[in-house]
Amino acid sequence: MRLVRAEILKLRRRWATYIVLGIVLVLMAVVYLLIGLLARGTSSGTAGLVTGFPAAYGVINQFVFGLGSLLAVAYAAAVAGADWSFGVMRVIIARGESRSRYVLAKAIGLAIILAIGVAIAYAGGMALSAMASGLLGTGIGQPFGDRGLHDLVSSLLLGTFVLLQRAAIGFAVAMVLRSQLAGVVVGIVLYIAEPILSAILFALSVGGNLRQALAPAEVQWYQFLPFSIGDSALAAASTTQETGGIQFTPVPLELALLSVGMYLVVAIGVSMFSLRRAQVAG
Amino acid sequence: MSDQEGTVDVLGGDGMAIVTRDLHRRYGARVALNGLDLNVPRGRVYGFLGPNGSGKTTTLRVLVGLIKPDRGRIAVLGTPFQWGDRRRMFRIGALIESPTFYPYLSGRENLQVFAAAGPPTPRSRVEEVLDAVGMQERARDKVKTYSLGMRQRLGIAGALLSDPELLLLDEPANGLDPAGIVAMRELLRYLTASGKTVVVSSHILTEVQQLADVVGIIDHGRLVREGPMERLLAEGAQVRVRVAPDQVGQALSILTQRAPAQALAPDGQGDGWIVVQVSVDRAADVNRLLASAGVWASVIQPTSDLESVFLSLTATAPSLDPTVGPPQGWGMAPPGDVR
Repeated sequence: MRLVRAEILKLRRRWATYIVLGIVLVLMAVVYLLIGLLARGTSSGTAGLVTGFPAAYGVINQFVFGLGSLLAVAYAAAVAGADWSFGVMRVIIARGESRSRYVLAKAIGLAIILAIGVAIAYAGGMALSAMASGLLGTGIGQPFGDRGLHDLVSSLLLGTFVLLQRAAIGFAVAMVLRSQLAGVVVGIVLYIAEPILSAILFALSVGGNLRQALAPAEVQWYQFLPFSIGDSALAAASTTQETGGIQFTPVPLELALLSVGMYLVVAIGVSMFSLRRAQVAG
Repeated sequence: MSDQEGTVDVLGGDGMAIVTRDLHRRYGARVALNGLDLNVPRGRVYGFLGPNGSGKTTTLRVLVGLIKPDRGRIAVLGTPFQWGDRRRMFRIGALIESPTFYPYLSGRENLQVFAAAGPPTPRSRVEEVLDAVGMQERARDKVKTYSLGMRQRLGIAGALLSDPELLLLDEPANGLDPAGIVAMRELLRYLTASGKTVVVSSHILTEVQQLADVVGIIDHGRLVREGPMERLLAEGAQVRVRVAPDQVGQALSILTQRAPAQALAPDGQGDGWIVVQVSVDRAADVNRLLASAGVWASVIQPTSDLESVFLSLTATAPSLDPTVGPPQGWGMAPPGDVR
């Protein structure tokens, strides 16, 4: 417990913690402000759909768990790599701390801070959406109606779980590479590269006939890749369906959650194993 | 290291804080430790000396479990060393290489974070060690604003957190101002007076000479000398004589009949310095001997310091690693083994 408390102290004192949260909130504010100001007075109802609940939860999810996941990967890698980059890992090991327990405490501390960040960002997203609705004069809809409450709860629970799993991958990469910068860079590259790889694999599997294959009927194996599998879980979070892009058949929620959980456990396990084996010569 | 190798028979007997036997460690092709045999007595300050790359820091890293020895036996505080036995570290405090911290945390917060790891440490201990190293006033400031000397003091504070029986300090005086060095010396003396053992690895030989009770000198990963400071100084005493360059040969032929002597520049192109391995109270005899033969010394310099001992030992130590060349002296010819 004292290790987790120490981790939380470290994370509270890091500027990166507030910068990551700030980026999500500022981008959401800018987008909602633009929607509120530019779409005001137009006859189109699209803007109202974006800002009115429960549909707005889908948009907030895009920010908090889409952009947020990318930032969480980088943030987790920075946190895990910091001990190596600052040279502090040798102090911790030389004090006789259990290496596995240290990694676990570090991951738990990070998860707590990320969960708090998700809650703040989500609340901010809801407030900004309501503000944009006010500017548009369309009304905020029913954020806490039956459907709205379902979307809110499932988004927060499933989204946070997926975000933590993705962050764990960034965490593991930095722990294995023993570097803050390398962890951040490789984590981001993996996060961006995987959807591109999925798209390429998809194109190859349909022989280039993309027009007829925009909605493949079967679950594809590459939907189970570490960053892609979370999308299936997130798809179940909101009752509002997204449009545009390749619409894969979602992986069944139970299977998606199981896979996300497995990746989470494996990522933490790899981190622990990596540190257990590490010889700190530099 | 296998369990069998880790067993201790004669190692770690009474009165020893650290014993190593035949300790080996390589980094790829480079040999860092080549059969190191250390004997660090309890309750003393042990000066651990050696040239750059001689294996000092590798030894300390092995002792605190940062790296695994390739082979050899170790006993720390009477207990056989076994890789992965992290709890033995609860009795050891260490400052390895340069002190490292989270720069965005204050000094106090860094110590609180370190105290959360390893053995249970009461919160009040952080304040005690901050007091001990004189860092209370700046404890609230972020470490990134600290000078090198302040970081060093905080590093020593970190090493003291668990009130260790054995303290391993790598270059503890690095960056400290004179007052800081004096304060550190007093602190270490206080610790040894209370029964703790302190191992100080350092390049600052004058500091070690003032501080250490026992000295171990390693070169190329192997112990070349170990013993009480007084004995080492007595054995390493020498008299340096400066004569006219064209009289170096004559002076050497006179002196070598009585004691080991070497010219500082063996090719005869030096400025006339000769080193004679005799005790410092024989300086007058050296002068008289030369004068009787018509050789006039312009300077006679009796020396009995750790530096000359260190230089003579590390300059003469054989190269144990065939991939590494012989150690470079500073233009001084090997004056012979003083053991």
